[in-house]
Formats: sequence, structure tokens, C-alpha cells
Amino acid sequence: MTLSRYLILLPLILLAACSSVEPWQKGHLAKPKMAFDPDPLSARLKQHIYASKEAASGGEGVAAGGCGCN
Amino acid sequence: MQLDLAPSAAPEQRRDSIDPAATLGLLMAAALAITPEYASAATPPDGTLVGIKYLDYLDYSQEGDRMRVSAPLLYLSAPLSDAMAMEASATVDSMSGASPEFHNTLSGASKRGIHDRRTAADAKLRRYFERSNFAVGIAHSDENDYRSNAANLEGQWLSANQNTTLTVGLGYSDDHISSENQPKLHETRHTRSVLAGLTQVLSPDDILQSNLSYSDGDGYFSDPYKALDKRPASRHQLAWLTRYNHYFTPLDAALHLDYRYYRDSWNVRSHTLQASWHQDIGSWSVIPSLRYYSQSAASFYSDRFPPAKFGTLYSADHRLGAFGALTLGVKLAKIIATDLVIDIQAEFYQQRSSWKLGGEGSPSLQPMSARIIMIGLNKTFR
Repeated sequence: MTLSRYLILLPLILLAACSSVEPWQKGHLAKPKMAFDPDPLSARLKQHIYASKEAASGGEGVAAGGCGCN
Repeated sequence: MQLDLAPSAAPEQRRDSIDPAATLGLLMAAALAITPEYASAATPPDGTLVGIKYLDYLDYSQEGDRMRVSAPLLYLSAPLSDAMAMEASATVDSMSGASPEFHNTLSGASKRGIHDRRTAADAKLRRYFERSNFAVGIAHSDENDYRSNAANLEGQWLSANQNTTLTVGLGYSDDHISSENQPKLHETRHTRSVLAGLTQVLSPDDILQSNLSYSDGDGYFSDPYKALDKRPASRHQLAWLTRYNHYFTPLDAALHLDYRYYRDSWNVRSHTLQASWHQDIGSWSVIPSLRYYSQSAASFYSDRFPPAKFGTLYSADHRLGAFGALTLGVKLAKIIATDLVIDIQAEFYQQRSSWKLGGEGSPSLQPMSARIIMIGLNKTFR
């Protein structure tokens, strides 16, 4: 998928988001398994490993510093 | 009692779950109690979390290269007051391996074999306001031949109904590169990065996040351990990560789908797709996952060694070649006592040039395989 096609998707997603979810409907979203990083420690280690074996990195947060492995 | 399958999850997200048999009133009260704390915290964690993790990593190629990394990791997250929290982590990783290849890929590498040790630590302080929070973080990493210092700032703003969160981050890193093979080599690299992200609740069972990050680095990017390796003096990287989570009520399970598009000024384009299933079974949790990655080669990457022309931009580093990669993983976690969770995770990774998206990768790349094992223990003190 090209970047421009990807850009077109964003307003659609935001439009869908306009349906309001009330505070008492957020029980499921509050569950730990619905967190984007349920295990941040493991996520951090894996990001480090992938960044040392692949050319791409980033997206999860601002860079926390370099390493001689890449 | 709810399974806490997210041992290292933000502690503010750990609460007793809502009993489906409860009355509507209790349900609403319970849901309201957790409301401010889902997705992106508006308040500090309600307990101190101490986590330890042990990583054992091994990779091997057909050429006979092998590398092993083992690392214990310590993590602490604690509230300091009603409106302040801190988190910190520290690790020491030791790497060992042997590389028969002349133009090998490892930091600290030489033909005689590789032994290197890296110590790294980071800390973050976060201040919470009614509908926003701000964090300042520092990170340090030290090896024989590489030293990095980094700092970052982050702000999060929540909408009035807390269905939308805007995240903005700024980072700076100052790296020093030297080489055991070239005592005179002392180089630097500076990287500035910025991130903007939007998290949106779509329905009671769907949440979406989209982050755009850009980093701008200048300085020394070549690998001092690779013969004739000569890379550009700058690198601009753009990553767009979109993550979507869906909750399946009848199964009490969650599906995570992630996609990342990446491009940089070295002409690398990459796509990453990842899916994981988070299933609770009694006091256990099972999380299978699948990841597919594909990249095109950097413009100055070459399969041939030595290069056709000397003195030009050149790298034979296979990580800058064109290939695809697959990861299969599974994680098991179990609550063994109140607020105490143990977990084990195994991942199998393989790179092949033929797995590149849409066809041929770099022809002379040999398949590379790796396996990752992680064992973790997490305790929350309330």
C-alpha cells in the first residue's frame, strides 16, 4: 500500500470514531489485554532485537538512544 | 478475580474485572471506577510494580555465524504522589559469538570471536494533570566501543470524554562510536526525533492508535568492523505505526493487529504486519503471535565484495539488503499468587531474501534464523 492510499484511510477512521463511547462502556477497553503494550518490557526487548537485525525502526515512541548493535 | 496477564502492564490498568453476573448498578460503578485509567493514563499507577526479565537470544546462519546474547533486565514503576510517577529500567547484556566472515556484522567483532558487554539504564518522571500528563526521560547505554546518551520529552492530552488522546514526543540522542580494531577512530552521531500520535476509542470493544515518527540523524553511520563500509553522513527515517485492538466478549479475548510503514533517506522501504491473540484460560493466559516484515535494500547496498569502485558509498551489511522475515511466537503467563505473575515467551525468527514482499530479495543473502526466550516475574506492591 502506498503512503498516499494510507493517508486516505485516516479521515474514514476518524469519521467512524465520532460515535461516542460513554465512560460506563469502557470496561472491556480497561482490561490489561486491551492495552497497546500489555508487556512493555518484552516489547522493548523485541524492538531492540529487531532494530539490530533489520533496517527499519521507530513508530512506538521517540528514540531512547542508540546502540553499537546497529 | 481477573487474570492479570499483562505482568508488565501499566499498573493503573490492573483492576478487578467486572463480574458478568453483577447487577447493572455494580457494573456501572466498576466501569466508572476504571474509566479514567484506560488507554492512556490520566492518573499515576496505584501500586509499585517490580519486574524482572531474563532474555536468552541465539541466532545462526548457514555460513556458520552464531551469536548469543543473554541479558537480565530490571524494571520499576512507582507512584511518587497523587500527581507524579516514575519508571526506570536497567540491563546488562553480554554477547558472545564467533564469526568466520571477514565482513561480519557485529559490534566489537573480530575474526577471533566476539565478546562484548553492554550496560544500559533509563528513567522517566511523569507529572499528571486533570486531562494531560507530561514526562521527561533520560537513557544511557555503554559498550566498549559505543556510548549513547539520550533525553526525551512527552506530552499527552485527553479529550473531554477521554475517547481521544493526542501524544507528542521529542527526543535527542548523542552517540560516540569507537572501534577496538582502529584505536584512532572517535566519531559521533546526533539524532533528533519527533513523534505525533492519536489514540481513538472507536466502540466499547475497539480502539485504534496511529503514530507518526520522524528522526533526523547526522554523523557517523558506517560500521567500523566491516571492511570498506561507507555510509552516508545523515539518515532521515519516517515510521508510521497503526495499531488496532478488538475485544471478543464471548471469548474474553483480544485481537491485536499492527501495521508499520517505514521509509528512509537511504532508500529503504519496509512493511511490518503483526497479529497477536490474547486469550485467558483460568489463571493462565496464552498469547500466540505472528509477524511478517519486508524491506527493500539501501541504495548503496551491494551483494559483491569487494565493491566495484573504491571510495564510493558502499555496504555489504546484510541488514541493508532486501529480504523478508517471519516471526512465530507464543507467550504463557500464570498468576501464581495475588499480584504475582510469572511468564515465559518463545519466538522463532527467520530472514530469507525470497520472502521479500512482491518478489526477489538480494540474491546472495543467506537465510538467518534466531530464537528468543524470555522469562519474567512481576510483583505489584499496593
